[in-house]
Amino acid sequence: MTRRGKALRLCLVGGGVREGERGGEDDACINDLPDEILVWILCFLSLEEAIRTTILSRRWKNLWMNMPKLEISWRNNPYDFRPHEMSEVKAKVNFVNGLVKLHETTTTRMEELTICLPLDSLYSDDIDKWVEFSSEKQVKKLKLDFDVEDMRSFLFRMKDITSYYCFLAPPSAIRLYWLKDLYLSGVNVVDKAIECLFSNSPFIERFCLNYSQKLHKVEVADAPNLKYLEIIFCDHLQHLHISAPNLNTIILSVRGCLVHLNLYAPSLRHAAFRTLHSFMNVCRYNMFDYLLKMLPQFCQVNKTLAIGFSSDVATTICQTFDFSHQLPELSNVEHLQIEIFSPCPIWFYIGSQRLHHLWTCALVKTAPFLQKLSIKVVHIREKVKNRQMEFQCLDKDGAEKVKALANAKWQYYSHQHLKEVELIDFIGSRNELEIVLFVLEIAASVETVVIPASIVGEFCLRFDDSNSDKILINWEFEVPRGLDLSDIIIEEMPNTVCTPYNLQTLLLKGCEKLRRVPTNMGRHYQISFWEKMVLDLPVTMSSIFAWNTLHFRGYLSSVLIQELFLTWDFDDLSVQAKAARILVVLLCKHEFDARYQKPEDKLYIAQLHFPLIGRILNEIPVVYNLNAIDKCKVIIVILQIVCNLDDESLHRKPADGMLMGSSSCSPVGDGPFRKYSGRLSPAVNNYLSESSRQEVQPQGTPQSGYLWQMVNSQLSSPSKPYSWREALAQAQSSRIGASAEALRETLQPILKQKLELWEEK
Amino acid sequence: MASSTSGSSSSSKVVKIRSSDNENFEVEEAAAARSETIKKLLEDVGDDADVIPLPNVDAKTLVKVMEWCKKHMDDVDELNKEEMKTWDAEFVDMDQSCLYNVLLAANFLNIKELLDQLTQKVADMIKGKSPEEIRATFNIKNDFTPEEEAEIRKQNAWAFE
Repeated sequence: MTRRGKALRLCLVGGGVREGERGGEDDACINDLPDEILVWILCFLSLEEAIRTTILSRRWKNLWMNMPKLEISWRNNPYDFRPHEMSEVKAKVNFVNGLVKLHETTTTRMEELTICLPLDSLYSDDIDKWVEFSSEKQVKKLKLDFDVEDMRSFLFRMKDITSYYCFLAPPSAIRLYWLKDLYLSGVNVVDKAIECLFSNSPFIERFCLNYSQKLHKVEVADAPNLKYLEIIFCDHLQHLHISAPNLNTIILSVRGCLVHLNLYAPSLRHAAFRTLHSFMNVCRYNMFDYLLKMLPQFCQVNKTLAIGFSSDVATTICQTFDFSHQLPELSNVEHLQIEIFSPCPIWFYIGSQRLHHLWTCALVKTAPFLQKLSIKVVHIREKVKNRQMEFQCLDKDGAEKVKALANAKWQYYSHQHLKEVELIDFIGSRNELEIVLFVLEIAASVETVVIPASIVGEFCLRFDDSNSDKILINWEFEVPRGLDLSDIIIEEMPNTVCTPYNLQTLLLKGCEKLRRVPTNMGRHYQISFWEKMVLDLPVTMSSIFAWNTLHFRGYLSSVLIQELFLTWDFDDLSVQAKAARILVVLLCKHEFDARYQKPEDKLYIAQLHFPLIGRILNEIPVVYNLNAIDKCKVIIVILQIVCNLDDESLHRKPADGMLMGSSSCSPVGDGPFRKYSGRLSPAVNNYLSESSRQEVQPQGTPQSGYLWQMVNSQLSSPSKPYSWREALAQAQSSRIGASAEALRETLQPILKQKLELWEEK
Repeated sequence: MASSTSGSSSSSKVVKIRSSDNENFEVEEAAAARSETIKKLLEDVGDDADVIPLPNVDAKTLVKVMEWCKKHMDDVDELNKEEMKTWDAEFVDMDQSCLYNVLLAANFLNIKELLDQLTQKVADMIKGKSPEEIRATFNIKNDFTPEEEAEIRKQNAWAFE
């Protein structure tokens, strides 16, 4: 009983609205909702729209001011580069001023304030006022982004002299005591300002600083709550001393000059250190020494370390690198990501000298517990086209050379933990290939190589059999069991892909342009290669159809069907029967898949499968070996194909097409468009009805029952004594296109002969 | 004890809840636990909870809310996401009084996701409308004097453009 009492008490705490206050059902009004819900609704509106609700009624007048966050943003599209007009900026600033003024009259607190506008020091007074305002409102998250207009030129921007000077610097007395999260971009922060920030705002957890050009030195000695620190492109920053016991993530991008980092962060889990396309003359510095100096700072990382270079920096490094160099140990890193930015052709050649980028592999060796290695090549779009040259790069004996090099330099070193290699935006260039080959050589337990390519439309991987040994994949080494080529634009695949014996899984999800698969994927490898798909029937088909999108439909199945016909040449009867069964399932799947019931899909399928009819009839002995139900299915599907085909071709007026769609979905099929199915010869009708009788027996599956229903209704239409053969012939002649013509020529004699055979049955 | 009840056997367990108009319902625990309020109560009272009274929610609304909870009982995988979206869209498409009742119930029962869906729905009804249209849609009576209204418009001119 006591427990129940407790439950009751707890229930009543919730508040809510008392019955009496709420009007009857009819005059239900939004005004009866409590303030908290109304404010919550306002949060889903744009700021302007939320403010416009003040005019609705007294109830709404000040509601919007309780919104926990305000966000004033510049245009939505950051790639919209039209130069901003002063008046437009001015209007936005007035908007914020008005907002702040109104808000000042209330005492409510605010959680978040975000202002993203292209402002510079001209608006300093306004900005100072806003910051003061957020201090009064005890804002926890403040974002000031005044760099928005300069997205386009972020690499070449130097003008920041006019940037707004930061409020943080003394003698400014603004204290953002409650602040937890601060993001500044395009704001000039001076030396000492950051120290002030951390002493004034003890709760700060996240701090991001982008494009501050006045900063030379940062010393943060006491930041107990700091968890996330991001410093990007502060071009004059030279010294960075951070002591933060709870720091979890640090992101540091260097551009202007070399930062000397002194980091104490025992709980650091993620770090990213990028040295990008710089204004400094990188050749003046010894970048490799710099790397050697920086790496020990990141030994504290115990999860993910990303190291990035622009290609010029990477080039100077690889000119210096020698395998005899000792790199500091990254003992706790589990995932290492190496990023190369904008690899213009210099990434492959300097003068006539080819560069080896194998030094990246040296990093693998320094991380003994590494589990995952990602190599990410970040392309700058315009430069992609220059990259065609790479495809002839790898020498014929490239693989052996790399292998020999690895073994010579590292004395058959073997990494024990590396399991996964990921190649992001991999396009199969010489350098990338060498790195992969090298890594696979030194890492004994790699299980997976993942290649998610994200650049689309600009170029595609082209494999050409004639010189496939020169390009992308030369699997002469031990290969992982799985290869994921999803979403890569591949048109053709070289035969070499199928050489490895232990390749079991090949993921081709979304490879819409795939036109040809390796020829040696045939009989022998087919079993191992297609194992999962072909031989376990239920799994197979579902997996094929689970992948597919409409773009993909048909293609893979036609490959499969080709393979199946090949299988019929085997002497083994059981294999033949298996193949035939698969064929039947495949045809049925296509024909009666709920997703493909639209007329255009039906036509597509019919066109795709029509040539098969000839083949099937040609191989009657094989089909004979099937049981009655499967035989029945074959003939039903064939009839379906014929139906769809000639209906579509003969009535190509759009309106008819529409009608066709509805009739093919519903089992009422005796309209005028069902001509040819109605003209089947009595012999065929007899055959069908006989098999239907068989189907009533227990072994009939639900699916075949459904098929039967579909076809039966069509057959119920008045039947004219045309022969099936004629129907077929007519259907064929109505097909359009040269290939169809040719097909008819070859098919016709066989068809005639075989059809007669069938009709006799 | 509480933690053991929310463990493996939770899928089939049934809890009893009672609406404000004294109707009793039996709901799967996993569905009812979508409500943070109910979940907390269950944790507090443990196994021998009898009937949980919900004095702020009437039967009609409770049926609606529990319909949603049942649908959202399990985690949605990628394949069903689209389907779920359409279902949700149909679910929130109800008359206003019903919408407010469910909104209040969702607030009281602390079902964050449902609350978001419903408030989004109301916000969509406001979007792109003039104040007059909003008043008409939501049956809001303008209780400003014309002078007051003019004053507010003047004050907020920057938002009204």
